Amino acid sequence: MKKKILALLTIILILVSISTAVFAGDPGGGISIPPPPIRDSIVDTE
Amino acid sequence: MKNLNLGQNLKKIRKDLNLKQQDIAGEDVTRNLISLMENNKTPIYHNVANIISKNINAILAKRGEDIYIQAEDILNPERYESRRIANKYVEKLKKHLEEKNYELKIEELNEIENFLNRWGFIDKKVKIYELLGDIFYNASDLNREYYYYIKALEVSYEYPNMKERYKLILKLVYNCIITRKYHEAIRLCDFAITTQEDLTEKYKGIFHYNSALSYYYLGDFYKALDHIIYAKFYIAFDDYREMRRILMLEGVCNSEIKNFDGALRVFNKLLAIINENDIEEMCMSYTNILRIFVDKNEKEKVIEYHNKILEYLPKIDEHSDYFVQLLLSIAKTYKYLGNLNSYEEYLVRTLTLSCEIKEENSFTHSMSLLLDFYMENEDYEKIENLLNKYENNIINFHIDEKFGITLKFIYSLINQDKNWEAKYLIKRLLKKEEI
Repeated sequence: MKKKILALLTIILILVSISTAVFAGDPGGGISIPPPPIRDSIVDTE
Repeated sequence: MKNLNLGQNLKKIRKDLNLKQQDIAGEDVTRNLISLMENNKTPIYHNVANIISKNINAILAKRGEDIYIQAEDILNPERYESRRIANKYVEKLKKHLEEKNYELKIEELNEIENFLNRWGFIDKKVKIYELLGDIFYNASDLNREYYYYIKALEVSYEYPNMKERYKLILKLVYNCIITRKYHEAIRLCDFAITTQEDLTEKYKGIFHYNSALSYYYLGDFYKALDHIIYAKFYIAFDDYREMRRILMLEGVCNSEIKNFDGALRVFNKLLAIINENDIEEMCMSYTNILRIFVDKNEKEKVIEYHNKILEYLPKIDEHSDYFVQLLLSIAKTYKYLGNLNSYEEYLVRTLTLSCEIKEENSFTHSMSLLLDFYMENEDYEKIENLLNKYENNIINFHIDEKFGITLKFIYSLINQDKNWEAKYLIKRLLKKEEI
């Protein structure tokens, strides 16, 4: 009996973790922002 | 003027261009023959008209003048006269640009196109198509911009002495990168670098930079870094605007290949030459640096740069080019730091603003993250609110054939009340996308 309950609990935990993993989304932490392309050459006054 | 004969027409062309009879005779034709032709004492044959137009064009090219005379101009007075009309169109389009009036009526466009099709003036066609491209660039009409620049480039191949074709190519490259035609951008950069003899060193560097950027977007960071080396070779360090972009790109490429120390060195060089009034660029640099510290898991440094960005954020115009991406980065940093309320707040801000300014990438990315967040928390009411608020945008998402098939399967399962099977299919698809 105990073994059966343990097995059932394990299955439920696995199912919950799958569900969480699918919708866990991005772990977070910033993105890279590349610079824009250059379209012309200007005289930089700096 | 309307009834000029061929001789008078030839003389008119010569006088208009400030040329002497000897100039247009060159070495193949005598000055005497030119005189006879101008006085209608002898006919002008096509081969002679060709020689004369070649001589004229060689002189004009040396003078740096943007005019191209064809044999047909010499042999058809009406055609040469129509060049004046072409010049009027050029002036009209230039005026549109000067007055920042970027609206062109369809009748106006058709009139110009029909005129150019009738007369085929190569130099005017290139000029006019390029001006139209400029107008549509300013009107943010990316498709028309591309269409006219491509037309200008194609016609320019018939204009042998054309100067500074590379400037036109560069405008096209820019459009290609913005519209994600990266392979075409690379091809055009290669073409410019290898074939345009009057390409200056600085422009060579600029083409290498744009190539590097295209490779970055294609995920080929090593090729990008190769082109960055060339870009740095051709561009002087004190060409600050170009150098800042090169360094920014070098930094993010190094970051992608996990050369974090190299990336940080580059970003430090960059920060040293950023104008302190250019807050947006500074925040972009901080964002890129912060990402490195996230990858290295140095939480204290992440917090340091996160706070710097938050401090400067209110000073940046919300409608500037990168504001929405800064918001998205801030949101994701909050998630990393475990502050989920602020994560949600900034995702919502990103979503709202990206919808307003029609920034598609950030819109879909932030929508996707919000949905994940609400699903994780089983906050179905908020999901429904999102759907209600953005229903139009979502309905208009592009669906390709394969995804359409998937949706049909799911719809069919739901129709049969086989909800578990439908959910299972969706989870498998989402998991596959995640991987």
